[in-house]
Amino acid sequence: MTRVFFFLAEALRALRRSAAPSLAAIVTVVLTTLLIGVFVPVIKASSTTNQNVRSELTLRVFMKQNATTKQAVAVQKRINKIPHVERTDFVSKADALKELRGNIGKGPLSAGLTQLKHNPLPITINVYPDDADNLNSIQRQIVRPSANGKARPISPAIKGVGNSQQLANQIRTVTNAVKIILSVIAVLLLVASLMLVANTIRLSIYARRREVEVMKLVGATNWFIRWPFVIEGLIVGLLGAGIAIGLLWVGKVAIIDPLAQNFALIDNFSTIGFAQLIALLAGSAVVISALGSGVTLRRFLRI
Amino acid sequence: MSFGLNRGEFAFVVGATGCGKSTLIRTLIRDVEPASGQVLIAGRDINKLRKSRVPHLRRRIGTVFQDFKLLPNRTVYDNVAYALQVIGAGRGEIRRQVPEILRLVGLQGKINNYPDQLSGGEQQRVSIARGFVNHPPLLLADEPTGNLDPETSIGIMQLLYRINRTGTTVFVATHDRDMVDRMRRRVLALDEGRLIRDEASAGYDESTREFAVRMRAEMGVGDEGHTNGEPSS
Repeated sequence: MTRVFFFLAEALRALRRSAAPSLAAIVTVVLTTLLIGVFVPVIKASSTTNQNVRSELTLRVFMKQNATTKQAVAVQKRINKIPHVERTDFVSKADALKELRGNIGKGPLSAGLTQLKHNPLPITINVYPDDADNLNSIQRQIVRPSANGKARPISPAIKGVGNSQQLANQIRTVTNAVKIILSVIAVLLLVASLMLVANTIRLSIYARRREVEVMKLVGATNWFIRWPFVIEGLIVGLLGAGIAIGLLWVGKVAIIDPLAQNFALIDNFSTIGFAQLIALLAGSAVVISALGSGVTLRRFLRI
Repeated sequence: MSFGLNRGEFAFVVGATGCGKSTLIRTLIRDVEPASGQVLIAGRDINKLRKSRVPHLRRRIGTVFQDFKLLPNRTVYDNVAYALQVIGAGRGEIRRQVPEILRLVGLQGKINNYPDQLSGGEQQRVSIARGFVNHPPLLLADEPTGNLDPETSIGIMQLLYRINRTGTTVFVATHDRDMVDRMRRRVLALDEGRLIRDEASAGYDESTREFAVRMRAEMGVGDEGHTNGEPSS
């Protein structure tokens, strides 16, 4: 127990005595943690947006203008039995018109809409797949391609099927590209900052290599010399991570949270949880700093 | 080269720069390992020790260097205390022993100074205090007076002599033949790594005080000269 206090006191003494290198190490850790703390949620967000958009992809089955509600309900029942269909929505003529009105708003078009003698919109059935990748197979089930090239829908009342698979593919291509680019940048950043942290710690130890030599000549064991350095690294990591997390939290409260209230888009970024992120950052900062100190010291202990 | 030291002996090794004095001292604490041959301390070959035991060997040997090798950002007290902390001494023991040894070397007034606030002689005293604080059976000194003026050197030699009289074996490397001749102790002379002379002078059993008086007289330094803080005993 006395040992622990001694090592702690030694580490604190070293931090106080070499304030400038210690400060440099702490600032390095702060910047690194800050960068990673910003990047991890951004990457996470880009993949969740992708998923969000894809989950909204549907098949729209349009009925013929003269199809009756009874026919449409029958079609809906048959579609519900197709595998990979999660659920279906029945949109009646009236509903479709209401939706259209809502989309148009109170513009000049709205006046034109009221002049129509009867509702020109067909009954629509929205089909939600369990996964966007199954859109095509479900469509093939609803409208079977036949040998003579003519499509044969499951019911004569079906006029056609609208498929957003292409849109899905486009979105996937773009988000994948974005994700890859962000990941590459993040990895480069991580490597650069690791080397920066290692180098800063190395410099501060290099400045004290003579001290280490003297300790060895007086008969100190390697671990007796190493522990204070490891604890010093631990403290540097802890302080750096603490400051960075404080800044991240301020950023979250001041910038992200107000935006999230106004924009559904940001709110939808159900990104990595803040507590989770903090734990990740603090853990890695501390471990890296402590390990960096301990490992760098090895070179100077070979006397 | 082959020689042995007896327990409680005070011996010098002399020779020109580069003749191997420092290397000899460093082989004794296994800072360098000899290409061939044996180094026996208390009957054990130290080069056969496991690496992890080397620190324990060094704790049983006090070492004093020409360039003092003090820890620059620690006070006199902490420098000496470090040697005790290394061996796992308790706080009470440290608090008792460090002031005692600093009184012995005559630095009781400079306990809280940093090494760069001290003169060369004072730094060397701190170094000796650190080497001797856990009362090792063997004290090695590599050119302990190499950077010091003659008067200060006598003070250091007097200190080493006093330590020797407590029963500690003292082994000093130096190029200062004048000093060695007047000490009248056993002298090993080295030349290009070879032992060329091993003379045991008949040293008298004189007190530290007598020793200092004689040394000053023979070196032509006034007895009441500047005493560099060491207490008269």
